[in-house]
Amino acid sequence: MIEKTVTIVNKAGMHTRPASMLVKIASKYKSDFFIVKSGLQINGKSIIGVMTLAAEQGSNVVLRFEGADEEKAAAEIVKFFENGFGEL
Amino acid sequence: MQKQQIYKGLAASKGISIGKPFVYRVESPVYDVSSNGDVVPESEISDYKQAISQSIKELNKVFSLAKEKLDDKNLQIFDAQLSFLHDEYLHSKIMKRIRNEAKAAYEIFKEEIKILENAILASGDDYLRERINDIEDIKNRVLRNLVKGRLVSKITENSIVIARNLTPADTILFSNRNMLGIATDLGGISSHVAIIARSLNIPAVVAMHDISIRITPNDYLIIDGYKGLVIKNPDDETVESYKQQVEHNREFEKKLEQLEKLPSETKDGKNILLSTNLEFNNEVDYVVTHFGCDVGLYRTEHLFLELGDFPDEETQYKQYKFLAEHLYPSQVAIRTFDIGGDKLLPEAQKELNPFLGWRGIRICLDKKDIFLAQLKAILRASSGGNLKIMFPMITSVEEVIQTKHLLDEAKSQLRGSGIKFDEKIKIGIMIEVPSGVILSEELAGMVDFFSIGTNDLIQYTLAVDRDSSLVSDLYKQFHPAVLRSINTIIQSAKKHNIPVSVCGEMASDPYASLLLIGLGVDELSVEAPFYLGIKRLIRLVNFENASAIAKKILEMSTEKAIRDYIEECFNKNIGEKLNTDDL
Repeated sequence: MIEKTVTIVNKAGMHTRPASMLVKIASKYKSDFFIVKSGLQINGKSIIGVMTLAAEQGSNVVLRFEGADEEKAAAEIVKFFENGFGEL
Repeated sequence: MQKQQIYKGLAASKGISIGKPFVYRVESPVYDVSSNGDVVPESEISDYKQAISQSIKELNKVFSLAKEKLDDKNLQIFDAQLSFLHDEYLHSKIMKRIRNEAKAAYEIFKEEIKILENAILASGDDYLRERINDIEDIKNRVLRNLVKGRLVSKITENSIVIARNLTPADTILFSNRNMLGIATDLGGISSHVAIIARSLNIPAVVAMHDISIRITPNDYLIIDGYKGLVIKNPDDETVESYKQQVEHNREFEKKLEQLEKLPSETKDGKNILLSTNLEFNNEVDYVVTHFGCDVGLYRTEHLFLELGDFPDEETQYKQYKFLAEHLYPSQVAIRTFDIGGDKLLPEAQKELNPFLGWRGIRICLDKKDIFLAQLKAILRASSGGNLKIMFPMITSVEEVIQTKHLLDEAKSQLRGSGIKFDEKIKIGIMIEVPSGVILSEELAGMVDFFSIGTNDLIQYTLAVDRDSSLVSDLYKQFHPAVLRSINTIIQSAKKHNIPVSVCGEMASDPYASLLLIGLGVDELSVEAPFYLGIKRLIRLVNFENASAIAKKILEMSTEKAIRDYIEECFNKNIGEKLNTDDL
């Protein structure tokens, strides 16, 4: 299992568009992918789950990957967060 | 018994209906009542799956249509909406909850979305909170499909439909269940629900503000579509007086039927072509057996609205062939899709001014495949020689050139595949915007006929939205600018020797039709319920008189002077007769 803490850096936070893109990326991988924010854990392959986190700019979330391709998944997704979902 | 209560709105479709209400609430489902206890989880689950797959289908269609019109951001929102519908975690959670809690799919879906909305609202971040609109569209779409699946079987027949608002698709759905009347909180006289109600001859009152919360299923109602009233739990006396009025109207309508076989010509022998507007197939038989008249306007939008998508060429061909054959030898003018962009675009991309936006011929010329399919379907059905094609919202000479070019392309494609059609099919354009009026002389030289859409012409000429209660009293059919525009159109047509028809509501207004006849229109095309009444009027009019009245009115500069004058002439010449039950 891989765990990484990341910060939401784009202005609009984790809104519809990035949530949808995140789910798409995560779904490419076999590994399970969870996001934890303020004690709430959701499935990172579910758009409604991701959006329920209501992660605004500046908030920290923990990304959790588990499975055969967890390293690849973690690399791409962490990068996606660090790039502010392409909205910087 | 409660005391009777009278609510006032806008009279959108004439007539009186008396009966029980069917209160239609999209936001709290119609089957709420029955969902205490007798929920069958398996059928809820299959409803849910059905609603999701229907929503996916709809969204894909809208998506493919709007693709070229959207910028990247909005495309991605569209895409995000699709990912909601494909969210297997959401679906399995909802289905699990339906099984465990034995609650309706509608309730559970709503709760799950509510959790999401609350989470977003609680975030306290303005940027994020603004995005809540993104999920509004998708929520409503799924809920609507969940309700619709259940709706058809739940509507009690022969009831008065009460709703916050009715979409065109809703109205069509209800009309298949013999609704008696309609009253809605929203909507205006030119909203689609009003137009459909008029063409189906169903009494309707709109813009009632809050009627949908004032009426409960146990009430008893009268809808007065003449005065724009809804009477809740009327007393015996009121019911009796309305029943008499209904009876009287029925008798008079019966009497009007004597006019069916008589020609529509004025007292001094001038023939006015009287035709009807048509939208639904179930009106065809009535038109054939009772009127045997031409169709001056066949609207094709309902083909789109019922499907939620543009029908393919084959589907359309069958429809147009049905009309051409059933109405033969009468002429049928088919108007190509006159759809507003507001029906096609997702929430995020909605135009601020749909009436000045992507609509009518503009969409057709942008979406050439769709337009070509429609043109080919009409042409293929035209071999009997009784179809005409009419193009809406023409604002320039270029549009006519482009349109004719596409028509030529459709023709040559058909010739290439050896399909026969009417080589001499007539084409006409709707004159309904001021630029069309100003250019009417040039335009008249390019087409075979004109049709004046008075509703839009008035709105665009006077810059008045009839559905805005703040300015709707400025919507005036006798405004001198409107009448002079109509005169310009007719004069241009006469110069080029092409006929002019009027298919807007002015044609079915007694005062206005007198004036239109006087101005020299060749054809009046009216909604079926007005057909015999207008024929009666034509037969009471003296054409020479009407021309003199029209001539004088063109010199007047205020709406009031015109209205007063026409009322005076009308009362003097035919009013007395019209007020009696004599024919």
